[in-house]
Parts: sequence; C-alpha cells; structure tokens
Amino acid sequence: MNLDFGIIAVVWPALLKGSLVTVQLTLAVLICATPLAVLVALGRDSKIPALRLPLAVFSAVLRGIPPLLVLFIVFFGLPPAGITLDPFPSAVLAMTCYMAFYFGEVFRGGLQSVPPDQWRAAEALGLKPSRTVVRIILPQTLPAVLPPYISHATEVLKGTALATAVAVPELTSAARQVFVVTFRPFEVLIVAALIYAVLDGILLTLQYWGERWAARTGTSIRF
Amino acid sequence: MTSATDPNKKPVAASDDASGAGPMVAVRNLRKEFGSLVAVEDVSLDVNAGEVFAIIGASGSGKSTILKCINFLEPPTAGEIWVDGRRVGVVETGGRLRPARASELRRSRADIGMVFQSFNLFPHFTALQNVIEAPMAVRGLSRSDAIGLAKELLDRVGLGDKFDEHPRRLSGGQQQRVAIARALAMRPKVMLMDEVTSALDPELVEEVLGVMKNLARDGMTMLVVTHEMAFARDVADSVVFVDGGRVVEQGPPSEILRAPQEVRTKAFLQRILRTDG
Repeated sequence: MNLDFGIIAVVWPALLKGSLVTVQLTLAVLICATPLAVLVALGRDSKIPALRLPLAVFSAVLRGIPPLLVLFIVFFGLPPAGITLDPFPSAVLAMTCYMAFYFGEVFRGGLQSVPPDQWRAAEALGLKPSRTVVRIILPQTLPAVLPPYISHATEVLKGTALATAVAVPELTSAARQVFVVTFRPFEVLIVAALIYAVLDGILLTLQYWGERWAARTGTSIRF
Repeated sequence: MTSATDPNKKPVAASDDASGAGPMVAVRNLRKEFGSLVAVEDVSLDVNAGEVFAIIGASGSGKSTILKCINFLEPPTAGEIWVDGRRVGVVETGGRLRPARASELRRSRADIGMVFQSFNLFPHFTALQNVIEAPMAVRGLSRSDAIGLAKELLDRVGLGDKFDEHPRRLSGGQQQRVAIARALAMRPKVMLMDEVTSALDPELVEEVLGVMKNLARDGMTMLVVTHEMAFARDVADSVVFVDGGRVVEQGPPSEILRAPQEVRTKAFLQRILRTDG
C-alpha cells in the first residue's frame, strides 16, 4: 500500500470543520449533562421515594439501551409527536439523556465519598442546601469523581461519532465524506484518529490539573 | 405569647418576662426516639445567659443527642426548645403552631453555634475561608467585612499566623480552634460544644480548653458536653449528669462533682476519675 499523507494538505479544511463540530457537540453534552447528573445523583439518594424510584428506573433503562437507539428515538421518534429537532440539537438531547445518568452514577459515588459530617457542619452554620452542595460538598467529591468523569467524557467524545447517523457533520462523518471522494480512506481515517487522540489528551490534561488541585488543597485526605 | 389552649406550653422565656431575665436556652420535656430506641427522655434544662452548662455522662447516654436537638440537627420527637425567648423548630402563626420551614430553621441555627468532636472543617478551604463562608452566605457580610471578622476571631483563638493554611496542615487542636472561630463568626447567642476535646491527643486538649475558658470569661453562653471533669469543675456554672437519656442529677459543680447524691452519678464519677488518673 502506498501511503500518501499529502492528501491531507488538500482535505484538512473539511476535517477541521468536522473537528469543530465534534468539539461543540462534546462540550454541549458535557455542559448539559453535568448539572443534570448532580441533580440525578442527589435525587437517587434522596429520602423521597417518589423521586428516588423513578430515577432508578430511568437510570437502568437509559443506561441499558444502545445509545444509537436513543438518538433515533429523538431524531425519528419525536417528530410524529410534534417535536422536530435539527440533527445537532437532536444529538445533544439524546446524548444528554443517557449521559446524565452515567455521570449521575459518577457523582453519586463522589457524594458518598464525602463524610456526612460535612453536611451537618454546613447545616449547623445555617447554609442553604444549594450553597452547601456547590461550595462545600461538590469540591470535595473531585478526587473521587474526576477519573471516572474524564473517562466518561472520553466516551462522550467518541460517542459523538454516532451523530453521523442523523447527519451531524462531525469529525467521523467529515472523514467519511472526504475519503469517499479522494479514495484515500486509510490516510484520512488515521488523521481523524489522531485528532481524536489529541482531543482525548486535552481531557486527560484537565484530569491531571484537577488531581493536582485536589492534592494541593488536601481534599483527597480523609481521616 | 404562648397559646393558653395548649397544655404543653409553658411560659418560658425572656420575651414574656418584663424583666427580660428568662433563660437563654430552655429545654422542656425533650424526647428523642431513633426507631424503637428512646435516646432522650423527658429532659428539661434552663441555661441562663452567660452561663457555662456542662452535660456529663457515659457514652451513649444521650448527652450529644440533647445538643443536636437544640439546633434541630436531630429534630426532637417531642418537647420544646427555646433560645433567647424564641421557639426553635416550631412557629406560631395566628395562634396555631406549625413545624418551622427549612428557611426558618436555618435562621434559628445561625444564632446557635456548634462545635463538633471531629472538627468538621471544610478541607478544601483555608482556615480563613472556613470562617468567612457562613457570615457571607448567611449573614450577608461583604467579603472584606467577613475577612476582618475572621482575622479578629482567628487571632483570638491564637491562630493569627495560620489564616492561609488548609486544615490538613494544622494539628487537631488548631483545627478545633478554627472550628470554634467558624462558629463564633456567626455571632451566636449560644455555643453548643459536643465533646470538642475527645478526638484530640492529650497534649492538645489544653489549648482548646483555654479558648473555651476565655469564651466563658467573655460571657458566652455555652452548653458543653464533656468528659473533662476538671473543666466542668473549674469553669461550669451548672453540671447535669445524664444517664439512659434522662437527667439524673443537676446542680452547681461543687455539688454534683464533689458530693453527688445519686448512686449512678457516684458510680460514673468514680469510673471516670479512675481512668483520668
């Protein structure tokens, strides 16, 4: 096989455009799913059964069906119900739906890693629950949450390739369109893979920083 | 004013009294159950303003639960809690009583300082950040005012050089002194001290007791659950001995600690003095 990476000089604008869509989609899903996941985590360990039980069912169902199916339900299934979304918002909605529950499990573990006395101390000072969660509890979950969070975020990044099935012009989709016309699938796909690797690397760098912050402030120390 | 139709109501409290000389903390017929376990039964206490009130008793006797009921960290099963003439956890509107809303409970708690056995400092905050958080969030102090207050309080507990240290860089005694400063920063009407020296290495106990003595001298009303009999003897105005969730004996330390009347009090004191050496 003769490899000719010179082709990249021609097709890079298309790959760059695809990469930007991939980054946007990943960020949109993370930004939507993360706060929801915190609520899911709090709700799943809530004292109120009317909150806890439905969330447990949703969590099991949404994490148990293929992500592609969720995407199809949103993109093809909702229009007959009168809700028609463009490809990009469809992908954001679908991925947010199930990632909120995956991340929910991550935050749940994190919340359980914080000693209950921390809640009591905040309560005794008269702090509101919302402020307690944001200022006192969540920062302390960081050491427990960060590694699985980043690993799930990597899943989100990779999972954006599924959106090609509903015609979102993300990186994998762009790579396919490019090699179909240039007949250089191997080179184009290798470069697409490298781009994914770089994006993964950015996530891992965030994890590294987060862990250093946690180590510096002693959040990871328990007694 | 209290409702005359409620047989449980007792006229307690400063606000009802023309002289204004009611107790700062009044506990009336407190009962606390955990499932089928009765942790506290029919406990009534009066703590006057500026008084140091020591609660002693074996572990599991319910003495810590009494403290946690006062700020409703553990909502009482029955009974009344009054702080500075106001009912805690129950609100009277139009002659009827209802449980306090979460926001109303928070307001009560802001006036009741609490210090825990295990310090419970926020580990990701520096000493200063630990102290300024609640005054800013609950009292609405500006950041600079809160910092001024926090520095003054940390100075007062002897930690003027530790503002920017995180808790894990502090000794247990230092952490507990930060926790006291954190509670004081809310300008509480009363301080609840729950075995605050029990988790400390022996050589660190004195520095915390010293801070508590200073607070007592400055007129802070304190309820102190403690195993430090010397502290109870020297600093407390009143001592109550609790056993099996009930008050067994109550009085000035000279009576309770030196000449207890009840068999159970005597037995407890003998045990604890023997282990104290």
